[in-house]
Amino acid sequence: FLQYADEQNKDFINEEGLERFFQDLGIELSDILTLIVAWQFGAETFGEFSKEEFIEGFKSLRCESTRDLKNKLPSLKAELKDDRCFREFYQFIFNYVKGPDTKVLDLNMAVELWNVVLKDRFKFLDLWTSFLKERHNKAISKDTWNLLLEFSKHINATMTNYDDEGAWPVLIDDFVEWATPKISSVDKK
Amino acid sequence: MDPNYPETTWNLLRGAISEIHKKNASGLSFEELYRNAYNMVLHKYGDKLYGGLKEVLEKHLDEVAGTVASAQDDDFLQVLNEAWNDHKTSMLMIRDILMYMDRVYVSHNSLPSVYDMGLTVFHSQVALHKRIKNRLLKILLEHIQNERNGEKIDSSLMRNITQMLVSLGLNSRSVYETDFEQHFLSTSSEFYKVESTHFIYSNSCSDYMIKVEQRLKEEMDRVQYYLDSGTEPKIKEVTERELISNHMKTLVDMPGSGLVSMLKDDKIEDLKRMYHLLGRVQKGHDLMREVLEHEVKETGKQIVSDPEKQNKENSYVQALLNLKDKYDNILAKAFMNDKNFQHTLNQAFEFFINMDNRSPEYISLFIDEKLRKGLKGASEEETEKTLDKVMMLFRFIQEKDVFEKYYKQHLAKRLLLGRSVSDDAERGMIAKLKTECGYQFTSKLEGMFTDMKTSSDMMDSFKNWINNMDARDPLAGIDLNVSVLTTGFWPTQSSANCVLPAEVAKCCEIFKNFYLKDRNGRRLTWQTNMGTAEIRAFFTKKHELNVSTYQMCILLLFNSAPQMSYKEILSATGIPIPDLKRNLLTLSSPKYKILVRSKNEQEKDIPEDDVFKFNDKFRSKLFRVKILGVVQKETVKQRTVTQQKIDEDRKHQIEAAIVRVMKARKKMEHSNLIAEVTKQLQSRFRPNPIIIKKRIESLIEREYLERSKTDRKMYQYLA
Repeated sequence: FLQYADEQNKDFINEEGLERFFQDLGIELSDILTLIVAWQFGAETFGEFSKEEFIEGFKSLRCESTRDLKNKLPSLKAELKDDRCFREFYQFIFNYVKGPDTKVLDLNMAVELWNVVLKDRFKFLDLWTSFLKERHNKAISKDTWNLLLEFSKHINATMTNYDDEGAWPVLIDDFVEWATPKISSVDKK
Repeated sequence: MDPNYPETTWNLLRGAISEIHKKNASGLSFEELYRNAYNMVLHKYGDKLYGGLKEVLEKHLDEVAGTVASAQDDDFLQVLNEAWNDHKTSMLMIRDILMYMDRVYVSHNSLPSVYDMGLTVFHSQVALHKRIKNRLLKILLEHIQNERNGEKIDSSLMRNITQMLVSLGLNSRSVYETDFEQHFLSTSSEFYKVESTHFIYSNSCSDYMIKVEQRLKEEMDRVQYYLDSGTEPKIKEVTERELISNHMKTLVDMPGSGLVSMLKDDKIEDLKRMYHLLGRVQKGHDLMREVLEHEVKETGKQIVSDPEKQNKENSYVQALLNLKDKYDNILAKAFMNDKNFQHTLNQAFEFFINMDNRSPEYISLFIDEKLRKGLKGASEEETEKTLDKVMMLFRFIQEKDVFEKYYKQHLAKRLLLGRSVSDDAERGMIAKLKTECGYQFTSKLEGMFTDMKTSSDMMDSFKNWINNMDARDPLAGIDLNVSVLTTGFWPTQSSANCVLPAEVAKCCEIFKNFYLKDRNGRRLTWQTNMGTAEIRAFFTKKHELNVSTYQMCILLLFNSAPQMSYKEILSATGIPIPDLKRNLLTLSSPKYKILVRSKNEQEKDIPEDDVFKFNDKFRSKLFRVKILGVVQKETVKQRTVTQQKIDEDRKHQIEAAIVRVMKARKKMEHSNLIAEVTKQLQSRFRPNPIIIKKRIESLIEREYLERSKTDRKMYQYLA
């Protein structure tokens, strides 16, 4: 069953194999589940699984076949409802996607990721992404990424509970400043 | 015992008392009376005696009251006083006679003593008599009013009466207070209310204050002369309230004579008076300080925003110094060096000096001018004084690091061009800065001095070495002076180099070899933008020109050609364009027309085809002609560059401070960290909290710090 897994280059499953793997699992490549699986497997590099990761991953999930894993998927997704779990997952994918060589994540990638994982969790997600494109145009640091999650949980619908002495990153300070008039103008409409 | 005994004895005593009251006591036998009283008490007839005495007194004093009440107003006090004195005298006699009763019967039954009882009766029959009580008060107050209006009154009579009132209260002041004092205070309050309101609207502030002083003294004297001493604090409070507190604001704000005009005109006496008067009441000084602060800030603001300032930086600083002098004087002479007032002044100065962010530069320029020319011929004392005063202004600057940068630049020019008027003065200035800001601030400045000394010593050995050269060597006897500067100490320069004329270059080589001969591993870079040269030039007469290195390079070109175009000069010398243009303009300006240009003299820019010709018609009265640039204040462009450098420096300083603090504390909460960092840097500049935040984030990214996993506001140090 390990051998059933798609291998091109003896010790690694690369992108092509990955695609097939996910297909067999019935997951779309843009589905958040691809990331969840990567997380559960403890994958180090985006777009590939090592043999060890693959084997250990299956073992820790107590699955023996692809079908087992497929069945387990819904429960994996449900796990994320727990805040702590989700936070671990969220912080993981930053490192996973950016790769080991850099300290920051490219802006476009970050935006895509956010649209996948923070959909329905962050009420200002669209506003946030437009802000970044308009004002920031630089890569995203780990600090910003991590704190955005906390921010999304903390901030209220009118942004009135924002504490600007609250040790938020300067980028988020700027965002709140930029967004607050836009929100109130929407309210007025 | 004889049943009539008590009655008989009492009659006897009563008769005696009556005589005493009629002032006929001389015929009485003290011993006999005493014995009788004694016996009565002994045989338990104390009640009868005591009660009887009371009755007698009441009846007598009633009559007395009648007499007093029928006196005319003019005599009233006198009559009352007499009645009081008589009463006291007779009571003393009566007391002596009945002393046994006092000792035994009275204390046994806890009754008031004979004398005290006498007082009480006097009070109820006389003082409270319906035709006396109010009249007494009215007359007393009238007398006081008259005295306030300038009439003389009989103060000893007044004193007797008030003392009488005090005595009538037995062991308390209650009679005095109720029957006199409270009314005195309320009428005084009314009186002063009216007087002060009336006076203040038709008189100047200083006149009003003089009047207040007068009245205050008067009241104090009044208490001393004929009121009870307990009244003193109360009447003081009343007068201070009515005359000062209630009108403070009007007084201080009075146009034309209030605090502001006093300050403007240095009216020391008036200010002193106001300080003392307003110091008596609560918030008096607070009000003064408020107005003072506002006035100083306004004046300061005017100086700072004066448009003329742009052209005359030294007069700007001088104006600041003058303002400081003025207020120091007022503080010392009028405000008694009150610390709170000093603090207010300091705050105001700090406020407007930092309003203009070029203040640090201007102050450095001012010091530069003094150290170059201004202090020439000044005594050591005068120098100390001037520099101390400037230091006072320095203390107010918030951006001390900006000052440091400019001071370094200006000092460098002074040292290299040998412009200082006095080495001692320079060192003195540095010592003051060191005391103020610590060793770090001045270490580089001191390094610059050391370099100059070292260079001077080295030049001595260089000259010796040259003298020992073979006289036939074409380079023997060169006159070259080199200052070797340690890079870290001196302000950083752009390292643009120009092409030195061949002869000069050779000399430089010789020196370089000499220097490196003994000092391996060092690197020398010639700073051509800082040097000077003396050129012997032949016009119609011989002259010696004192020029900068760049100017020398330009002029020596004309040894080989009588005229050159701008383009040719540029390519031959390689001098940076802005410097080249500036120097060409100087050399061809009407003042120093050593070169003649083909374009119009007035033209500020130099087109490529402009041609320069050596002007052999150059004339000057002096043999030695100096054509050096002076230390200038920066152009706007230069300022931006300097500001950028300063911002860069500050970023590093902030990061260093953050790391220092975190290393010591290991973990710290966000707002505490910001506060701590600000505190550490405040002797140099005021860091903006947002910038500190950005630096923290940068340090997080570079993994010097991290946020705590549990609390986003807590930072931890990563070793």
